[in-house]
Amino acid sequence: MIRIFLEMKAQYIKTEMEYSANFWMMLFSGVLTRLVSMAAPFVIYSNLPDIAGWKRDEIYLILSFLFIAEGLCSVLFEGIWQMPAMVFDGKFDCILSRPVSPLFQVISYGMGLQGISVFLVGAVSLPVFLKRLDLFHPLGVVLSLFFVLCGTLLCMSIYLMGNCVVFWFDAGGRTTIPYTVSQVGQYARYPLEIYPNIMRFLLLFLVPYGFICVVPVEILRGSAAWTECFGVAGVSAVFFLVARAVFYRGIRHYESVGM
Amino acid sequence: MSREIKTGQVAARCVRPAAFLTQYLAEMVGALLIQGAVNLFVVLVGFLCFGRYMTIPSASALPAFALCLILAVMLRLMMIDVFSLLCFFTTGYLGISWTRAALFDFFSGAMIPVALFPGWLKAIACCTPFPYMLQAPVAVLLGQDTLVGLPAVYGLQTVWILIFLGLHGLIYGLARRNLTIAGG
Repeated sequence: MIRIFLEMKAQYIKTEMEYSANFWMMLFSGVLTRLVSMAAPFVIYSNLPDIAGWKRDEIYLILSFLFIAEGLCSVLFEGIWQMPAMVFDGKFDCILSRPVSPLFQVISYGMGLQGISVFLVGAVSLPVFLKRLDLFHPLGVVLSLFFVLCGTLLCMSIYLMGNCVVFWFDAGGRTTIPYTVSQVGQYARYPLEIYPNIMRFLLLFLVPYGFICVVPVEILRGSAAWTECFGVAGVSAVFFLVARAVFYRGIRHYESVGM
Repeated sequence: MSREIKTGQVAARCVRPAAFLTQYLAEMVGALLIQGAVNLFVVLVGFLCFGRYMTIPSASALPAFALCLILAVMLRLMMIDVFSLLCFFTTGYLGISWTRAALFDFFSGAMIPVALFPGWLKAIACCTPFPYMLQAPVAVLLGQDTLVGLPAVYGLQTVWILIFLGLHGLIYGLARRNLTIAGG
């Protein structure tokens, strides 16, 4: 299955590279959007000494975890974002008629080119800021890889749940709900202490972007106990199982619209 | 427009007996009026709920603001138009759209007010068209520093509109010279 998955991704990237202008534009936009995201803390910290006791490099570390998770999700699981269009134009029928897991087919469909550059920005900035914060030691690296793994799974689960809405509320092949959820999650680019309790709850348990990037950095900098690693893994696993259940529940609700 | 270019539906726009830019502007202004009404409603609700935390603009600033806003909207429309035309050459619109959004969000002051930028970054921002689309009208309305002075704001908005008009003519001319419509 993994070989088929990688083979499909290889074919998608070959297809995309045929349109070279668009290919490079997508990579450029991925880098630019993330550099702009990193410029925001730069401006804030040129006016403020710190944010709730957090240093600028720690904010960049939060962003690095977020970029890697988002980038990997975009490269590996872009098909999730194609679900609304598949349901609207009837392509989802093909998914259901093949003797392969529908979830596997959806996640292996397509490839987000900008994800490559988003991932690269995160992959470059993560070791840089780990080093600047004196966290570039074996334990720090192992924990970081663990958080990347959990964060990517969690990010995929959030996207999947958001896009499953299309099974119940079709909006002409496009739905703004998963995009809105993703935008809400962007508030987790900053320490959760600065938000009111309701917002913290939202970012930890409803749209759990906090577990993708903020909680990992809290553990690494020592402001949260290392046992919270189990919380990160647990939330990731639970959200994946719930997302999977919602997806299959949605399929039961799916009605073909014809080709 | 970028989606129309990608799907080939732009062919219909090219053969209509009206200028390409006129069609685009008419369509965008129509959409903006509806969007503007919705946004105004949201702002009014915001004022009703959180008015005590907000600054009420002075009525004397309204005439200067109205002109600045009209120029800002025209400038924004022209900028979107020029970026969208680039889709004729890339066959995709997401990369262009995200690039435009990233530049606009940061340099316009939508993300963080330009006034908070360090000096060198503020100078760079003032050399781009983006602050004159958002930061400048807001500063005029609230009677704050417009960074370059009100007459210069009007002048720069007009100059940037003319630059984008020129770019529109150039890019559209290049695109029409060797246009291949895919799909449709």
